Formats: sequence, C-alpha cells, structure tokens
Amino acid sequence: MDQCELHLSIDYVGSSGIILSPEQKAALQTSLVILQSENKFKKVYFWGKILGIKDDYFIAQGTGKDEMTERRTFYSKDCVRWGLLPPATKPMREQSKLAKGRFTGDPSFEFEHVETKKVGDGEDATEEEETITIKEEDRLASVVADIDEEVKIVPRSAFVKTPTGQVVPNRSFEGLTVSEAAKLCSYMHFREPKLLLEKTLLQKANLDKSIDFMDTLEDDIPKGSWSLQFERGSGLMSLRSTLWLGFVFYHVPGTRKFGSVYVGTGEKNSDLPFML
Amino acid sequence: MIGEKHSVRGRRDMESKDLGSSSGSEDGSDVGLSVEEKECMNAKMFLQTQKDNENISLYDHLSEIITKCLNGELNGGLDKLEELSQTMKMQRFKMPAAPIKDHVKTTPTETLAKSQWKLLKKSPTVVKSDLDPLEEGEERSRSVPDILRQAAFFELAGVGIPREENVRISLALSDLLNDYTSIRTIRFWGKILGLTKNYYVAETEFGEDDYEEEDMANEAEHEELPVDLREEDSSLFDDLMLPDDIKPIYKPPPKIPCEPAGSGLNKKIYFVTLEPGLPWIRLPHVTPAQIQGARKIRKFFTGDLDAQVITSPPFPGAEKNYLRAQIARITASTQVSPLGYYRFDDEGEEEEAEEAGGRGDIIMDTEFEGVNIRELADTSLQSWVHHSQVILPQGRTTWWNPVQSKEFNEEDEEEDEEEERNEPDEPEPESGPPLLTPLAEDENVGVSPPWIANTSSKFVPEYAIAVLQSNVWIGAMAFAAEKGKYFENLYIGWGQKNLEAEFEPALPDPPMNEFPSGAEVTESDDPTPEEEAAVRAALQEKQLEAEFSQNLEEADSEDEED
Repeated sequence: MDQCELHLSIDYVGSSGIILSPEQKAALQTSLVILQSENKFKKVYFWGKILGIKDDYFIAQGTGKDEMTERRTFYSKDCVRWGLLPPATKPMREQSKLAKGRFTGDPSFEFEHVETKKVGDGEDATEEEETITIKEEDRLASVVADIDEEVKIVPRSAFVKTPTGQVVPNRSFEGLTVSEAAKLCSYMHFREPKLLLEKTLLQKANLDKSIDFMDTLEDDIPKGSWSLQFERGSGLMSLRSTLWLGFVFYHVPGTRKFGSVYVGTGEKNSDLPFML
Repeated sequence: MIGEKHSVRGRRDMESKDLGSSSGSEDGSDVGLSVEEKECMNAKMFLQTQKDNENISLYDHLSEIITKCLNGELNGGLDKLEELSQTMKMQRFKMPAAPIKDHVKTTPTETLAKSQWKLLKKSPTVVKSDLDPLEEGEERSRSVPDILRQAAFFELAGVGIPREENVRISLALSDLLNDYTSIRTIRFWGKILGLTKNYYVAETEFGEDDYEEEDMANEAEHEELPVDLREEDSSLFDDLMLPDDIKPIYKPPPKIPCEPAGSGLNKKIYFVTLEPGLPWIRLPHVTPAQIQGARKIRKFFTGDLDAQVITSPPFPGAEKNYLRAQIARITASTQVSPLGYYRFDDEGEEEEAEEAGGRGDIIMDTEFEGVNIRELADTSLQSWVHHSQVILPQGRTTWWNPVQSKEFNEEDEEEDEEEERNEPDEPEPESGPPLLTPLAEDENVGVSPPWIANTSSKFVPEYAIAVLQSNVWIGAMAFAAEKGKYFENLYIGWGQKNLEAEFEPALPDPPMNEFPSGAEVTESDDPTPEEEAAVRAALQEKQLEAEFSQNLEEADSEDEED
C-alpha cells in the first residue's frame, strides 16, 4: 500500500477486518514521509503488521527505481521509529522455519529449537541434542521475505520490464475491467518467475514479453489457495490468501488503485490442503 | 424577378395555398390565370414535390442555392456550383438513431446498492420517551446495541470493521429485530470470512416462551441429514443367517441428545447474512455430535450454507451446521467480560446455588464499581472472566449420563442377552471449569499465552482502553472502556482454531475385537490318534456290554416264558 494514499487505501481492506487506529494512521503518515526522504527511496509502501504477544511489528518497504530488486524492509513497534531489517539469506530462512509459536514483540528475543541427532553407528549411537537459536529479528526478516516471495501479487500489466531489465511501474496501466478482475490469470506474483520458464513455447507464444514476465496466479498449487471476492457489488475486488492468513490484496476495477497488506501472526498455514 | 429575392419565398407560400382553390388570390379572379402563369405555377408545383426519402424538395434546394449566390457566398461562379450544392446537402444530413443501442445491464454493484438502499430508506421506529418506566425498560432491551460506539472503540484499538460497514450492520440488525418479534436481545457477534462469500453473524436470544414454537420448526430440519450420514441402526449382520449364539455384541454408542432449545448451547439463536441488506438466515440448533465432529476437522467455509462438508471423519451435517458448531465453540471459549461485571444470581436458596456449582444464571452486577484499565490490560489476565459456559468433551455444556437412559431402554426392549453382558462402569461425569473463571486459568497454546492483552494507545495513555485478543481463536477480540463498565466482544476471522502444531486428521476407530471367547467359538485341538483309539476302545467296550446285557435279558425273558 503506497504510503501517500495510506489513509484512503486502508478503507479498501477494511472488510477483511484490517483497520488502523487513528493514532497509527497519524504516526505513519508522518514517519513514512521522513523515512522516504532520509533514505532517498522512490516509493515507500506500508507492508503490514505482524502481531506479537507483547507488541506488534509494523513493516514498511522502500523501493528504488527497480521495484523488484531494490527493496529494503523496515520495522517499527510504535510507527514512529523505524529500524532496518537485515536482508534474509537462504540459511536464515531455513532456520526460521524451525521457530514455533508467536512472535513475542521483542526483537532481541531468541527462539530455541532443539534437534536430537544420532551420532555414531550401531550400538554406540548416542543422541546429541543440538539447540539452534533463532533471533526474532532474523525470523521477522525471513517471514517478510517468505510472504513477499509466495503471495505478493500485482495486476497484470501494472508493471513493465524495460529492455534493460528493470521492472518499473507502467504509466499507461488503466486498471483491469470487471470481467478481467474476476479471473485469477490477471494477477501475477511479483518475483522472479519460476513456472514461467517451464512453459512450452506454444503457451508462451501469446505472451507479451514486457508484461508477462511473471508467474500468474492460475498456476498456483493448491488450487483454491486464493479467495477472490467482490465487495460493494463489483466496485472493489479483494483477493485473500489462504496460505498466509491475513494477506489481502485489493483492486478497484477500472482505476489504477491496487495494493496489498498483511496483518497476521506471521505463521504459514501449512494445513491448507486439509482445509479446502 | 431579380429584385424580388425575398418575395421568392413569399410568393411560393401564397401560391401553394392557392392550389386548386377558388379563393381569392392577389392576382384576382377565377377567370383564370394566363397560360404562361399557369405553366409557371405547374412548373413550380412540380419542383416542389418532395421525394419520400428527402426532407427537402428540389425547389427549396434550388432556392437556397440561388439565395446563397445572391448573398455573395458563391465565389468562383459556375465551377464551384456543384461543390456548393454538395456541401449544402451534406450539411443537411442528420444521422438516424444508431441501430445498435448500448445494453445497460444492472451490475452487481447496483443490485447490492438497491438492497442496501432499502435498508437506509426505512424510517427508524419512533423513540417513545413518554412511556412508564416499566414499559420503557422492556422496550429498551429490545433495541439494537450501539454498534457505532463499539466500532469507535474497536477502531481505537486498531481492530475491527470500518465504520461505514458498521452503519449498515446496525441497520440490518434493526431490520432483523423488526422481522422476528420473538427476539429479546440482539448483538452483532462478528464476521466469518469464507472462500467465496463471507458471513455476518448476529447473536440473539428469544423470549422464554418463544423457544418452543421455533423448536418445532427446527426439528424437521434436524432429521433430514443426507442419507449417507444418517446413523444406520440396523447392522449388517441381521441379514446373514447366523446361529443365535454368535451375534455381534457391538452396539453403536448412544446418540447424545442435544440440549433443549433455550438452554446451554442452544440458548442463543444465530442469524447469518452474506451482506448487510440481504435477508437474514437462521442457523439450526447445534447437536453434540456436530460439536465433536467440528473438533476433528479443519476446513474453510465456502460461503454457501448448504454446501456439503466433505471431510474425514465425515461431518454430520451441511455447512450451516458446521458454521453453527464453530460459532458455538468460539463463543464458549472467547466471550469474556471484566471481573465483577456479572455475578451469580443468588436469589435462590443456598442449596440450589451450591448444587448448581457455579452454573447458575448470571446477571449484571448493578454495584459494579469498575476495574482500572491498567489492571484490565495486565498480561496476567486476572481481571477478565468467561461468561459463557465451557463445552464438555461430550459436546454439551451439561453432562448427560448415557448409562441411565440405556437402562431405561432395556426395560422396553427386554432382550435377555443384553442383560447378560457386563455393564460398563458408569462413566465419570465430565465437568469443566465453572462459569466466571478468570482467563488466567486458560491453557497455553504451545509456548504462547492464550490471550494477548494491551492498551490501545501509546501516545495518550490516560484515555487508552484495554484490548484483548485471543490466541486460541485468532480473530476473537474484546475491549473494555470506562473502567470496565463498557465492554464488548467481537470475532472477525476465518473461524479456525489456532492449533499449536500442524493439524493431524483423526485416525479411524480401532476395529472391533473378535467375539468373546466361549465354548462355541474357542478352537480346540484335534484329538490325537492315541486318544481316538482310547475313545474307540471305550465305545466298543460299552457296546459289548450293552449287547451282553441285552442277551442276558432276552435269555431271562425266554426263561420266564418257559
């Protein structure tokens, strides 16, 4: 959700139960502007809120010219002071999946995960317990990176890939029509394509290289992991993810307005196949 | 004629009136016009005939051209004459109505707006302020709660639904109140998100006498479960011809009856709607089997009340039953109030109160002094209590003894074999924590606490309110303001419990044990050859003795005859 229209756009996701208190809105309006100017970002997005036990984390992301690669994530507990989150590396993300339970609200808290390993062969086998500690800050960075990788979506043709390889917003994007907005194939994952490369040439023949450079939602497994609903008749379209409960994407058909926000516990819904 | 430019037209008009009539013309008389004039008139009339598909006659067109020439618009003389004529024709062209018209369909936005418009158009019931105090009390309790005030507090806390939606919800609730006159109290329970549609849930309580009428309507619904889910009482073995001694002793566990309407889990009646403005649909009563079933499955709601819930183990009911069961579970776990707001109704005899064991009716405590907000937001959760009954493992809030009714049934059926079986020991009555237990007694979810308590504001702590969010049912929240005197609960979420580990589907029950050992069923060893020989020898001896004694008798009888 772009920070300049935050106070208007938050209404769009309200029907999913996501609202900001007036204090939070006021604080965000000021602090995000300062964040943008201090770090010379082209755009600052309010990414969402991760609920913790003692405190909630507010997350914001700032982007440079290329929105896909130049992203930096910040977190705050009171919407006023922002701290930079470390970029999530692959081993960090693997480890963070082992941490169980909710976020506590204290960035320096350490989660402990005990793994028992068998050392030695045969009868001499002894069990060793290895305690892996995961810092909450690292876990936070990994969760944000995971959510971005798995569920962050944009409407088709909202972003174009320039011949130099940069991904920039498309100025002539006018919004999806109502009938287009009802189809899952009009939305794409905002990340490096994975399934696109495996498509046959025949399937790729009709795609436009500057617009269709990302995976569409239709290829998502399991099918049904997105809940597409129209609010206000057909005046507002919202997509909710069932994989990460609390992620909401909204789009007003016929206009340029779209955005996404995550307000949740930061836990992936791994029971999804049972629940559909 | 050159000087008479204007009169060209005028003359024509007058001439056309004169056509064929004998009325006086300027020229004078019936005697007749001269031949030349007649020919002139004929020529003019001919030129004035209008062809059907043109709006204008040749005469008019020519007269316009000549007018234009005389006005000096025709530059270039004869060469430009055709151009001028064509330009004038083109300018005269009017587009006919387009053959293809826009088909204006009513968009879903319009349909929804129309139904919500109806809500807004309804005039509110006039507030009667001149009633007697007694009557006024009843009337007041029948009104919709102040949803907007609650919404404002929830917004302070940073949770809930936007204000405009709350207005619509409030109107829809008063609509519901007007439709069902038996509703005594009404409350907005919350919103459950589904895959294709969402449910807005209203919680109501009927007047005491009105439960029975509604119950009859619901009983019919109860029985009509889909065929595959109905519990078959006749077992498979009845069809086979088995000797009477070997009959399976398995009897399905007794069907636990659901609590009667108006008490326990069925005290509150729930209504749902897909959007405020659309009609409210009543949810059926919940049975213990459905509660137990709902505990074992994990499934999203689709938004269609009659959809089948296809799970393993099979859920006894459709989506509306599943929805009702989840609502019952969420209500039992997460409806909380500040300590002291409710107290037990001590007006009955002391013995009764003790027997009830904390399950008596609760009423508002009029002498509630309020609790400090800081205490309410304290993480030790001592100042909040549950005010709805816990659901026992059986699926009800009050224990129902299955053994008692079995004995009752047996007297009717009079089956000797059943009585020979050993009665199972009378199961221990299940009990849960009594009503009004503080939240501090709740169990943790894994390593995380069951409730998260906070104040709503960091910047203005003097006016902050206390907010509670549940960790067991994510989406259940409560706030308390004005020293705890004003509080409310709400649920907005997917309707799923927060399990501490991944969901594991329930394994099927272990298969039945084999028949009990008895003489008929026990395998005995085959006799060894030595045993057989011994038995045969013994038999032969017996036979010999029998023959011998028979011979003796015959001999005796022969002797006697002689």
